[in-house]
Amino acid sequence: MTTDTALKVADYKSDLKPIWCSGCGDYGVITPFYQALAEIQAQPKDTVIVSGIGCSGRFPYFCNTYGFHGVHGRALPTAAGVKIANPDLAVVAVGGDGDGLGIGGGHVAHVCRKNIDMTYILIDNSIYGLTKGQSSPTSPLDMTSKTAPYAYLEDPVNPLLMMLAYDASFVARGYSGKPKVLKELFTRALKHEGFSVLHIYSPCVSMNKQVTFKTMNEIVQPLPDDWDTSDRLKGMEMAMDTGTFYTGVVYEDHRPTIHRRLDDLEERSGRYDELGDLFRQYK
Amino acid sequence: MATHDLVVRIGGEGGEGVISCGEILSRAVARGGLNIHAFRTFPAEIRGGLAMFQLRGSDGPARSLSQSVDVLCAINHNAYDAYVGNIKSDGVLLYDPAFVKIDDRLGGRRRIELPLDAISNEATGASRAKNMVAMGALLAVFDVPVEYGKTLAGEHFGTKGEDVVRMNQGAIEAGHTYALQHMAEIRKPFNRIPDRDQILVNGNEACAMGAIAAGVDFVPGYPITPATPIFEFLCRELPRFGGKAVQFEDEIASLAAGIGASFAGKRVLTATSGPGLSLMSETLNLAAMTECPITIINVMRGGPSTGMPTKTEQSDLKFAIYGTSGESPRCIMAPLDIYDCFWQTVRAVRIAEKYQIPVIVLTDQALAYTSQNIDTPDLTDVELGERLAPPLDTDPETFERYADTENGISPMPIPGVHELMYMSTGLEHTPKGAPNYTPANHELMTAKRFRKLTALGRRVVQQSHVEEEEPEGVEVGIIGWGSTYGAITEAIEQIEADTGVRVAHLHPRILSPLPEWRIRQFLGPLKKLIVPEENYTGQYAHFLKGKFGIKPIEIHKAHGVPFTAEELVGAIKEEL
Repeated sequence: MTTDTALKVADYKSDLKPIWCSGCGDYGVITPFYQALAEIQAQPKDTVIVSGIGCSGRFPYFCNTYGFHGVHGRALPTAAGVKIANPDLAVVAVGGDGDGLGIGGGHVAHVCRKNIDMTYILIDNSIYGLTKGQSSPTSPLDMTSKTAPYAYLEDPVNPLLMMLAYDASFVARGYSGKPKVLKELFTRALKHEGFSVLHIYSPCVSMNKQVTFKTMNEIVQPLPDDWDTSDRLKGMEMAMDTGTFYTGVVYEDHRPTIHRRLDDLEERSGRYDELGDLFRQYK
Repeated sequence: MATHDLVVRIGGEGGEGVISCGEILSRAVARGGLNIHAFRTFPAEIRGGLAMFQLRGSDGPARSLSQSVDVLCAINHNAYDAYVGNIKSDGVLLYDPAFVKIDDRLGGRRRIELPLDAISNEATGASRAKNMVAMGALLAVFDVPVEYGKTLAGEHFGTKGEDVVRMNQGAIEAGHTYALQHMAEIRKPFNRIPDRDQILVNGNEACAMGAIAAGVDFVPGYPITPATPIFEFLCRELPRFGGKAVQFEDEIASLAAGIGASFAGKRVLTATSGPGLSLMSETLNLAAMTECPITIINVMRGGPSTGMPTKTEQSDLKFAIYGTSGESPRCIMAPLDIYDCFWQTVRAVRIAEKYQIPVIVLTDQALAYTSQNIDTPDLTDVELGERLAPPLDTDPETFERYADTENGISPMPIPGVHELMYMSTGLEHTPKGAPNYTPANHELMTAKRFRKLTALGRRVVQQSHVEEEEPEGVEVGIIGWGSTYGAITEAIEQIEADTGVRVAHLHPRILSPLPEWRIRQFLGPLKKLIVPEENYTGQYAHFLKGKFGIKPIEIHKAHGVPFTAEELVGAIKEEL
């Protein structure tokens, strides 16, 4: 592959075939993702996909890019390290609701604050699928699971509201039952300079009998055509409407990334030519 | 040639400027041509509680702290209370009569009034410069030109404006004048060596400088006592060398980001202490499994749990070696003094890069907060060591990131550089990086990862010999590790002088993998092996016991403060 030949969708697929269950929502996520990579002509050697643990953690194995499959809950800080190390790379972090909102939930606020220029694909199915059916941070109240055999006793996290509250500089929501919309959302998220979050609902057909393609199809609606993506407060109001699952770009803000700020820092600190300059301060 | 030593301890209320007094005094005495060893303790609170600064100036090697002092400068009564018993029988107490009530605990030891508060008020119109009065007086005791202290105070207080500088310099001058009149007899006939090419640094600063010399260009971090100053130093200095230091939300994120940056081709180092290392243990394994080089400086403090954050202990060794789920290769090192902090950090980064493993460097609060003047490191001796990279024309079809090579080291492509996209994963994987849980593959890959440690172990044997051979016919030997080097060395000198018994000393800098051949050679002629450690359970002694089936005599100290040579002399003599 060379940079002067246009890359096709197939060029982004690795030799490994996805091993998700038949009918899994994640197929509806990865296909438009390949299409978006082709749309923006991402260079595989300059692209890194970092994942955590869970069904969605397998995502990078199926992509013909650099991939890093780390530990549970740490996809965001790991990806942050990759991007800060080399801002020329295109960096994508991917993980599920358990990985990103449960064990790794503490990291979200801080990647948002740093405004690291990368895309976070949060694939939500309200269940721990890989470990076969335990409650997750987005499981609805009262939903039964293997760890809530009688009823789930907690209220779910609202991922969209959380991302808006933490002021991620790009917040979008999609649904794996609408892959065409997803391709557009991926394309915009990848192009956004700053931290972009794409919350995607992707039903688990094996373990979650309560939130399904059928129940989702009933509540999914595109955002109105005249939606104002600069109105964060309005976005939060919309996020709090749990009766409708609006899809589209909810919020977009353009502000400096940490990479730019770090470059400024180098100017502020001044340069030393050699270590001897530093030693002299300690004579 | 006889050497001369003068040990001065300054004690006062935290916030009374004891530490800044000690810091400026140290630098002035070092510039005056003596070897210094300076140590401090302070309460965890920013203000309140007893703060102590101890400065040993010597024209010989000042390798360790001393338990007993020649001069105690008591700014308040608490300091007198706590330390009067540490004054040598021929030592002297300097005290402010307005605050210190002498009692019979002083015994027959000399005392000289040093009315700090009164002098400060007279010279500056305020009490708060009394630490500088003390400094001026102690400059006279060390026979260092008062100008050295005034110049340094000018630099120290420069940002606070001319008035503050003038006030402090006036206080120094007044203290110095007073001491010349009242304390002339404390002075010692030092043989000074002025104008040496030296720097005055503590262990944390030496590690941080070592990191820069090692070409570290990414430092993620999270503050934790007593390692924070390493991170602060690198936040300040690394941008001046084109590197990046970034604070993360916790140690887990910090090490995860470090691994990400290492994967992306950076030379990465982070600094932490026991509780932080505990949080890093899962990600540390990820580094070992994905074979991403990373260096962690772990500045040990009193544990367990929150323990004693501002006190020292050598108690993270077992955790550093074994603290892992599953089995993963890592290298554990321990610098033995301030100079060594610089060089072992350089070496740690080199080992991490070369063997693609995590390296943990164990220093401790005592090293971290001990200052010494050391020869300015000769940078022509710095050997960086490169990570093994695949040739740019490597065929992606046949390329294996985790190739099963003879020494276990496999070529590591860098995103954005090599067109060799691969999966780096914490799952067990094939040489190509695909997940694989078959027995044969797990055996193959475990052995491949551990072969790197075997290869390193062979190198360590070649590199870790001490200069001189053990003395002929020696029957008693000591193995130590880390910051106890100075106290053990001085204790042995003392024992040999007192008793004529020769004692051999081995102090490996790489603790794991063990320099096995070298240790066997050392153990060969010995009838007794003594292992002193600043912990309760004898962690290194147990490690040696397990490897060599020997029964060392263990000397433990878990007080939160370092061994002194005097203590070790007593403890070792009992075993002779």
